[in-house]
Amino acid sequence: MNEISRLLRKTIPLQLALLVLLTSVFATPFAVAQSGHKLLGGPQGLVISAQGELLEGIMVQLISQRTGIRTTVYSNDRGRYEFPQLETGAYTLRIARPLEFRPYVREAVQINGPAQIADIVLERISKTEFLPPTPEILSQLSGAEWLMNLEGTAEEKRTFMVSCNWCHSYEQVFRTRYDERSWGIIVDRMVRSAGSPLINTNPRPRPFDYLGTDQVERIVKWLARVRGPESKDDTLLTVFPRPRGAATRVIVTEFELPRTMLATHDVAGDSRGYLWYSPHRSPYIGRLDPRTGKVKEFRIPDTPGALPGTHWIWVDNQDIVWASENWTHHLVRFDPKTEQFKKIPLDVGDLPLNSPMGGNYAIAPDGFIWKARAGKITKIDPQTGAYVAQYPLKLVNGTYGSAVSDDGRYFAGGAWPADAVAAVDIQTGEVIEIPTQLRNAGPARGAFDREGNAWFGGRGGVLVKFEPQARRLREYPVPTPYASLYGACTDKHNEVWSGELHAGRFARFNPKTEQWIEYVLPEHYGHDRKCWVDNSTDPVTVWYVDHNSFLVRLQPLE
Amino acid sequence: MARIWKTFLGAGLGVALFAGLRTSQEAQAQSAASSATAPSGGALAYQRSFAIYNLKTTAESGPARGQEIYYFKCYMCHNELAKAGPRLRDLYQRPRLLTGQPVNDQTVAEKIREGGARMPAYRYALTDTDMADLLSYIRDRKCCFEGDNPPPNPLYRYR
Repeated sequence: MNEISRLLRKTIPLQLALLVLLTSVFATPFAVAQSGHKLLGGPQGLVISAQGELLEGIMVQLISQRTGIRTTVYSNDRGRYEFPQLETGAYTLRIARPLEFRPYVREAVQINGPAQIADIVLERISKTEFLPPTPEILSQLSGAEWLMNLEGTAEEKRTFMVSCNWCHSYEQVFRTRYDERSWGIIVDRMVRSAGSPLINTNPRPRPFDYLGTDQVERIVKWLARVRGPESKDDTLLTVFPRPRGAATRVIVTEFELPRTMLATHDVAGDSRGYLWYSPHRSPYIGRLDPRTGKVKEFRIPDTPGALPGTHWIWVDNQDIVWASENWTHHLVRFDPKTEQFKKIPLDVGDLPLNSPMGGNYAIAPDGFIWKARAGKITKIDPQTGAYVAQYPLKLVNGTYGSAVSDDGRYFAGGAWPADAVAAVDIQTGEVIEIPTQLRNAGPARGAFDREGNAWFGGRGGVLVKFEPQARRLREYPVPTPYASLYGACTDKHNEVWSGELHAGRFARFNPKTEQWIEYVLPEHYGHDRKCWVDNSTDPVTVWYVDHNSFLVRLQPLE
Repeated sequence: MARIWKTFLGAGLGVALFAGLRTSQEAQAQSAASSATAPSGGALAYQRSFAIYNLKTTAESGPARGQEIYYFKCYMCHNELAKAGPRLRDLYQRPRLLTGQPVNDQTVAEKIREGGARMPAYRYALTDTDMADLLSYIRDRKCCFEGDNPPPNPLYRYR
């Protein structure tokens, strides 16, 4: 026994060295990946190239085979990724938007706790930075990347971008081909028809407010050239860089909806953790339970002769759901407890059924609803739809977006298609109208922050800040070229969030530092029309519903 | 003592090499599995944009896919409320097209390919497979999409 003790004492340095070595061999990968972040603690692993490079910004995705919920995390600068804690079960492991790498899928991966997933080894499909124009690669290009790669002048591309934008994806245009005559018919129908249903014809062609006929003709000729019978996708492609640094520190979760072709529009949360979404051309609003992925649909009663569909959706502090029917010209009030709808008709003058009334509204702290259209800002009684106060506008005819400050002092909205913001000081009745400096900034929807400033997403890819006290606008172009903004939402730290339409990114803007973080999404759309921030979490949680009928949650890690 | 250290270092190196080899083998096996276990439709089948790009979010082929093609290519002008084109519901039950031709797959496909005074020509926009799926939907009693009952999402797991 004494000999054993003596031997053990003599070999203490050896034992320590062995311990260090074994620890370095077996425990280091685990220790590196375990961030200890409260949102993480699930499966983890390493992404490397076949040549052994540690790959940053790779979107590693697990799809639950039971719920269909897709969870995506991003590899860091050491190639490591870590999921949140996930339900035990079978998952599909894949790389989202592999682009320059060969697609990677593993079926039936069993997940149970913080397991180490075997290394993901990706093979490059090209020896250069350029990618071949195969159907597989083309289907992964964001609309902005399409636009970057297509032939054309800056004028042609910018004209297309600010004109053919919010109603559909760029991809919907670029994935097809027509001759010039046919493109002419399609573009003419888009510019002369009322709203996205294209049912009625506008007495005054809408885009001609800011587009001349020569510019419409230019779009048609360009489309016939780059997407005509003779056009070929035979040049090598470039794509935007993968996310780096802060842009990799996020969890993105995608939830399936029960139907496709919903043209989903807005999302808003209630106090019980449900998310409500509006479909643009269908009568079913939906309620997602993000804890399970289950959705319950509620059908809004029809209006004879009118296309169904809701635009704006909002949940008030009593958990009453409010929506607007843009084509039937109603506000909708829905009580989830009784499941009863009340449709409140709005006086829209001689506007024909199925023409858009301007579907974006805002609820003030006192419960009144606000909107600017037909030359005035209006305060609306939510019970009757009656206009109880009106403030005439001079510079613009109305606003596309509607927002009321938290203290109820100001209403403001981006005035797209005009390049301006219009507002009213509700306390004094003073109307404020300020044009943007940037042409085709096109500010539209947005929200006030907690400092009393309003933020609007702009069609021209610009975030527009309205400072009521200073009576001033500030404009911040988004970093990614050809990205468009439609709305903006603000969080409790006064940071601003906005989906980058056609760029497949979600922008986070810090007004104090004027720095952007662009989170790259697992799908290349980012077709967000109104995001919603859950400020009850820390860090905040951001939601949007994509036009392509799926709901998305972003959880930044800081 | 020196011999013990040599033995120890040799063993440690062996462990390290073995661990590295194991990782490498595992990685290679993983890579092989990635192509071997890809679902039908290719390894991009789970990329939503791949299905959207190919108009296959509801089905791979047949009337269900035809409905998606109808939604993107026909619905905006031929729905019940728009007045830009004739309704296509029960088209195959009618004796003739507006052109006077009989209604059959050949004449309907020709009309779609050629277009008309206010209708784009889809000759370059639809493949033969697309056309077959579209015609199978227009022939189907379920035609035509009006927005009141959008099709189920096959990826949604709760029914």
